[in-house]
Amino acid sequence: MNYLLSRLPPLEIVDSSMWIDEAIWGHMLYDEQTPWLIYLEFLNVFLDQRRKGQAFKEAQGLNKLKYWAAWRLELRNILFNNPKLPEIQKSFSDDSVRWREWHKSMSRAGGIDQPDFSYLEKHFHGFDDFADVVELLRGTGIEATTNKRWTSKYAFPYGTNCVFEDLDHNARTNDRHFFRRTGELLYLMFCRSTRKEDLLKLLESQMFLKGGTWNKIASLLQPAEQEPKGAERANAFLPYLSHPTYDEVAKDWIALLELGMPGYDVLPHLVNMAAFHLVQYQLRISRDVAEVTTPFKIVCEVVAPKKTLIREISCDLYQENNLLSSRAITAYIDAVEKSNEWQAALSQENAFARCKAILASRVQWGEDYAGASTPDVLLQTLRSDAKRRHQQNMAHIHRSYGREIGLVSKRGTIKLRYAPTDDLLKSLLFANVPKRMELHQFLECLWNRYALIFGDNEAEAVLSKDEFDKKAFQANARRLEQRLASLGLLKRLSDGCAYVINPYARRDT
Amino acid sequence: MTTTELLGKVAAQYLKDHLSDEESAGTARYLLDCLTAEQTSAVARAVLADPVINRLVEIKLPHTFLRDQGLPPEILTTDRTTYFRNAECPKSAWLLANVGDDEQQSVTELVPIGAPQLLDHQEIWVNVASQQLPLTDDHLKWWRQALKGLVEARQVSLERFSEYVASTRSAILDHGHPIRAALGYALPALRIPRDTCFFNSLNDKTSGYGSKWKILFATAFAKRACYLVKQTPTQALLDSELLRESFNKVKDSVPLQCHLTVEKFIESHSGWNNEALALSECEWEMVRPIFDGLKREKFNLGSLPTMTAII
Repeated sequence: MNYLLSRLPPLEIVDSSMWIDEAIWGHMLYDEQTPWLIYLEFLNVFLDQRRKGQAFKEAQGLNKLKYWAAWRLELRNILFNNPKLPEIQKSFSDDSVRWREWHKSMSRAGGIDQPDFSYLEKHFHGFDDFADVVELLRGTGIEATTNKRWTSKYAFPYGTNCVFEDLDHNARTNDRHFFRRTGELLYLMFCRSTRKEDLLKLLESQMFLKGGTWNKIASLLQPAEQEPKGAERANAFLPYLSHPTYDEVAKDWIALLELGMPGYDVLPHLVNMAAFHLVQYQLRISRDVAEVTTPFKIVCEVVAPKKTLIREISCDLYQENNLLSSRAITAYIDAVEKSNEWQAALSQENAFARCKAILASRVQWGEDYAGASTPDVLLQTLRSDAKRRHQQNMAHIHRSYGREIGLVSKRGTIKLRYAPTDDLLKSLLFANVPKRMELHQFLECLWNRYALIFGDNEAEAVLSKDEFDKKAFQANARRLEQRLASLGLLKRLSDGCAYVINPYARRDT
Repeated sequence: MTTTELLGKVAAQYLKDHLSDEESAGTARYLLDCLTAEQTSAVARAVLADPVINRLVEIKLPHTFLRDQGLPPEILTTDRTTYFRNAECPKSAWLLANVGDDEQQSVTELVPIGAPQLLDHQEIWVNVASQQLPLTDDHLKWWRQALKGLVEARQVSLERFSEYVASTRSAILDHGHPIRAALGYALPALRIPRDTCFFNSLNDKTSGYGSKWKILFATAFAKRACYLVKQTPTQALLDSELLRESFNKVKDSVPLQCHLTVEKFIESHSGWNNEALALSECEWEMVRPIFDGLKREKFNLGSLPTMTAII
């Protein structure tokens, strides 16, 4: 909790109506930015900083990150703003006619003043090849099947040629609708991790940076030279110089990258673990700010055919954890109220003006305040404004990211609770089991690192005796064992010991 | 009778019933399966206090697990439980304990006495808890059916189940409630608001069916228990501001003696805590208006004068 004592000063130019959520968790965690979009935004920052030779270094100082993100308008128009392509391919048989018609259809390509796609004819043998490539890249895109605007659809990050940022509907300026700085926060976390050098080395060796076949194919859809467009991005803010999450997320990414999974198989696990750690980051900081002293715990149900005691406990704990961020907001404002500065202002002349000045300096709020001129009402208004603002986005991180990565689920019930999916279990296993590990050790590891509880040993240590039922937790651990075995990730040997196995383990480990 | 004492007596009675069934079949081996140290020692004490079972059962429990429980040293052992799988027994049966460690797989052939077995025998709970209570056979039957309904409606831990039964007994013995009222009075043990009249919707006939009790328990868990942890039945958060607003609206309908408890509850954090417990001990009908006040008022478009004029 020492990290709370050295909270970094706010940004000089603040583009928010108050500085409370940002002061606690950073600028900012955004619930509508899905884990894949967080990863894409992170890549945008990372690639730019790497090109400048300052990857994972805050070269300009703490929270002074500035970067350019690519727009790749030609590629995006071809992939996501190109509805006539199949029709043209079907309607005409001659390639020259097809190209001509297609160029005509693309004469109003979004965001490009004078569209020129003539380079495509040199890059492809025929129109059919071009259409097939477009179809394939579009099919693997992120958010490609949603009904979002074309400027908010993204190519799969096959390599540096496929990474670009979110734009407004005219493709004229960048937009913060889906790239809302959460990826920038992730980047800053790595910058402040003690293992950033190791991580950088591993990232450099990855196919998605070196550039594989698909990256080259994506480059064929773009002109050879592209000028940087838009403004430089800035104002990312991570409030703490150090936090255990920074090292934990770096450690998991390193473990995953070291496995050397084929192709792009590692990407979904990197995405899952990044969002999982962001959830952990928010919950753990909320607990510290709200001074919650009970042990942090996430009881996970391995879904059973009928209701179990674990499900009930997990539902209750989910709700308890879901309220932590709101409690942190309340605690933060309480701390302002209890501060010597505030108490001294109350006893002085012109208390209201002094209190208002304190709020303007500490939470950057109150300029438009038009309520009663008493400190109590002023503070009460701040409380309700802060809660309302918090409920708009930040309060949903736990639920939203939790559901996206498969930690939180309603499966088999009408209530949300922790019930990890196979994909998340795989990510956790790959990040924590170098080769093989005894099942109980694995459960202990999940508890020690992430406060995840599956089995009776961990539950007994933290649950109250009227909640704990050893048999129920043993059955839960048994179901986990069966699930891992069905995924080919666990073997029970003849000595009765169950071993969790990482199939990607390198032979030399 | 405390919760743990009750649990100990129930387990001892379960053992006694099984022993009388199997007395002639050689040495029996019973295993207290994954109970806590307090629960295991309560069972041991109950067995030692019953001369009939004590004569038939030799107790050997792990010393490391129970050394702080104040049990007689002769029933504690440093031998592992697996040793007693085929050890000669001076009496009709062994009573051993499984503490959920590495021996668990080696003692699966022993007869377990754990949470699932005890929760499945509601009649034993009622028989033990009803001692010295003025209950008729019908009342005992209703109690059994109520517990059956509870177990089917929701999974509860052995400790909480035991607390509910003990609270029901106390409601009859100390407050003189009839059985249906006592079961409603004891609801705070299940983290449900107290409602002495809750089960009065059952009549003498329907009280004999577990399914009817199950419906009522499920309703209480789904539609009332959530309010104690500041949630609506759909898991929406009830923050202090909302509750205060609602309380101010219905203050006159809430009896004065509950006001302080309600105020403290509103100011407290969400989740189960002492303030929630205190509120659960107020009668539901007294505090219900606060939560009813949260519901949206029904609005009939037809009754709007302007709308009528437009039509």
